[in-house]
Amino acid sequence: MRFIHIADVHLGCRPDISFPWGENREKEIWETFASVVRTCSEKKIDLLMISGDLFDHQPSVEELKKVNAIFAKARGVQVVIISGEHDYLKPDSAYMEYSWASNVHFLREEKPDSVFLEEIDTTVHGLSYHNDENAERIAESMEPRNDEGEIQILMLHGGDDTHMPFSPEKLAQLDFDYIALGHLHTPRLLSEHVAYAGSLEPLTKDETGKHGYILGEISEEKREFQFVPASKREYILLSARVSSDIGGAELEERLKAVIEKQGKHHLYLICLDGKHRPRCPYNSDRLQQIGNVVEVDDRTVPDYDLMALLEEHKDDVVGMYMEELLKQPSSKTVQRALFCGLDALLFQEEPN
Amino acid sequence: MIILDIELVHFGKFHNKKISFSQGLNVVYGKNEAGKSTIHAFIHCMLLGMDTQRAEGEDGYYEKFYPWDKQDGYGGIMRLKIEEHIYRIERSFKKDDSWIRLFDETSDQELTPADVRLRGLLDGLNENNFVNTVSIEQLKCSAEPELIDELEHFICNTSQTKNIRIDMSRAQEKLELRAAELKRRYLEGADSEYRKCEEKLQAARDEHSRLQEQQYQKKRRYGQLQKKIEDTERQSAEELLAYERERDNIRRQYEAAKKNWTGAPADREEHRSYLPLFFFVLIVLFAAGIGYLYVTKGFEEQSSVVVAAGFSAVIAACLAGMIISLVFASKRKKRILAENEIRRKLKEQFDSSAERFEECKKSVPKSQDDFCNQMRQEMAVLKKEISQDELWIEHWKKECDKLLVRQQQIRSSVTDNRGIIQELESVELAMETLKKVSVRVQETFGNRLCKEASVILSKITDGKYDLIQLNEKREIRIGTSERLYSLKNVSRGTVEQVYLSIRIAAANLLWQKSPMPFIFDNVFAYYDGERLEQAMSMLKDIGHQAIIFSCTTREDQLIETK
Repeated sequence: MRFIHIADVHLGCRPDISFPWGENREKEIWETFASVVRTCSEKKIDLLMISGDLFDHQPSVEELKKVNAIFAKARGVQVVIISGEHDYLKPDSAYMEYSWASNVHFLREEKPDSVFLEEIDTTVHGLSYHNDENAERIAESMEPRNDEGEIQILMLHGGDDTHMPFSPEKLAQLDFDYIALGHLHTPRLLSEHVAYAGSLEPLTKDETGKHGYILGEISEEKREFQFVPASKREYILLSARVSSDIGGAELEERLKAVIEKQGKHHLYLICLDGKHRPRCPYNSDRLQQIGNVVEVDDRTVPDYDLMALLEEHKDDVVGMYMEELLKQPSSKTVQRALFCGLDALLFQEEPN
Repeated sequence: MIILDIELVHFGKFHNKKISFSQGLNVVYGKNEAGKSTIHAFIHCMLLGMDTQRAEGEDGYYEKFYPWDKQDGYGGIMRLKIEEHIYRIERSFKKDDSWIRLFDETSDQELTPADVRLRGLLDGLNENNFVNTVSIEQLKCSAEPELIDELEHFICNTSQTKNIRIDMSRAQEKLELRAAELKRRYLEGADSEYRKCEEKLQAARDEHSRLQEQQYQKKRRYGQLQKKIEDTERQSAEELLAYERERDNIRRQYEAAKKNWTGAPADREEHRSYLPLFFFVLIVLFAAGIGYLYVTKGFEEQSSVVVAAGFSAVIAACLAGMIISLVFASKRKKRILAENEIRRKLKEQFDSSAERFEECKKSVPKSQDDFCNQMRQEMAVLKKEISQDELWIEHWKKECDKLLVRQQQIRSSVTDNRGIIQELESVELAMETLKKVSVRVQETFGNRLCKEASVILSKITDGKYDLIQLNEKREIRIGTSERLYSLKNVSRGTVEQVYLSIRIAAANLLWQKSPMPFIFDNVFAYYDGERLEQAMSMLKDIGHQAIIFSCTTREDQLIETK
């Protein structure tokens, strides 16, 4: 039996909407989702599991229809869905009455529920949210149903204090062949057969790295689970250690080259470390323009030779000022104060 | 420390030029362009090296004093006496071949590493305090108000920061500007705005999905109505068809029945039979015949009896025939009556069926229309509402987008705010620390500087002024304990004297243990004879070595005469 496990698709989510590329993100999320379902039927996958938060908010009937049409096209693929805290089952939710295509199985219950899929001799267990929180420690006590040799899979959405808390160790000890987790947006293997698929497309700048789905195979002989990247875009952290001999324009060129190489369509977080020329910090606004830059985190400090300055100014106010700050417990605030004080003291001739 | 002699091996216009200095006052006399500032710069560079900051740039020392005839060497020798030891410094300034060597001539050994050892010998003399104290140049400004400004500036800087180049209030001002800029960038109430935006967004989303749901229900109702109308239409058609079929059915029955009828015309009510009557007439005729025979002939004659008997037989036969035909006639009559009854009934049925069909044909479409029209009206209303809902859904979707953009912007402002607050904290810490340090400089160095300078001023003015004070507005007042003057009200010469007093006082405070040599570059130009004399004697008294560069011979003469 081969399956694909996705989670946290967040259809309808509009990440980075205030940025130029944000306009397309909603559409891209839909497209990636549809392409994964297509992949399922192309690769003759038996089971597609969606571990919660398929939608970013309460889905409308129209949206359900759209999704259902995508599922219906995937012939021969059994789809099992649970809802998460974003698309939880409100009493008036469109989920409630919607009648899905025959290959789609929605585990609507708030209590552990399961569906037996005869064609692939598999039972999938799971439960849905009926509120935007569920702090019950329910996960660790889940049990596979009276086993008659079929494959047992568990789908869960949560893992933090307010969303079905559980300890990964205890979860791994449960007698399931695979546990398909959702909620945390970074793909991660908790143990050999317990995995977060992560969000299908990255949704915020904190979700750096590759995103996609987990492709699994369970049979008598083997059990294999691997992560397969599938997202259109990625948030990529560009950490640059700079020194004061690199000017602003040069830095921009270098970063541009890196962006070009990694892919211009990706989304970049620039983090600068090291030193800049005193009084000539790097221009964050210009760095924002060199590509799809979400954020510039400039941690560079002015390139003052503190020892030399201390020596040179040992008997004037600059030296005293430095000593005064250097004897305070070192912290970012103190360091920044030191540098901005030095700027003010040492660069008085320049206009502004 | 005493500078014993210098040798400008190759420096500027000089080659192998040797100059010796004595322990007390030395005057280097020369007209303009004679090379006084070259010698001044040479002393500076021999002591502290040609550091890049000073060497580079348009007005940099390196190019300025590069040997004029481009000889190979660029450097020189200087001998110093420090605490009874004589040291020799040799330096080359050439960029690709710059070096320094230091010798202790007293104990005849080379000291290495030279730069480190020299720094130790110079007792903390560096670029900064060389310019601040040891090397004294004439105030640059010539116009009086600016001169006072410059002097006030100088004294403030010296007394508040111990560095003539660093202006404490300017530094504070810069930090204040920076703090103001940060405060301007800070978005007040970003957090609450974010929450508000979040609430609004939730409400907009709810409204959006409510409308979607509502529209969906309407669409569903619309579809239901459409189906119902179709159903009704189909039902009516079916109903009509059923009537038609029934009519046709009955007609067929009628036609079939017609075929089986026995021939009696269908339209006649009764079918009379004349056969019994005929027999009856025959009977009457033959009876009359018998009667006639009897009357005329009686029955004596045999022939008449035979005839009568024959007649009777015929009568009997006819009677029988009559009876038989009567029976037949009555049977037939019965049958005809029965058939007529059936026919009538069928006709009746057919008529009523046809009538029903006709009636139905008229009434069904009418009632169907009545029924459907109501639904059609509802559908029209629904259609309108659905398209209206569509507009509203569109509207709320746009609203959601707008709020989402706003929310993301505020979110980044919230992050920015955090950074701004941190930076503001730093700037405030910087200002606070700067204030603290500057107060300390003022209290320790600044006050002592004024006191020390007052003593020196008193000496060079022969007691005319014995007090220098710096007030809070950074203005200098001089005078005596009885009366204080603003610098605006004293002569330029006096201003220069105040300047000299401060400079010397600053050096005294800095080099208390071993006095540094002073280098005066054209400082005494504005001094009148008397004051110059007093200045010279003061310099002698304080015991520093002094090298005075001058373009007049007055200083020299004064020293000679003493």
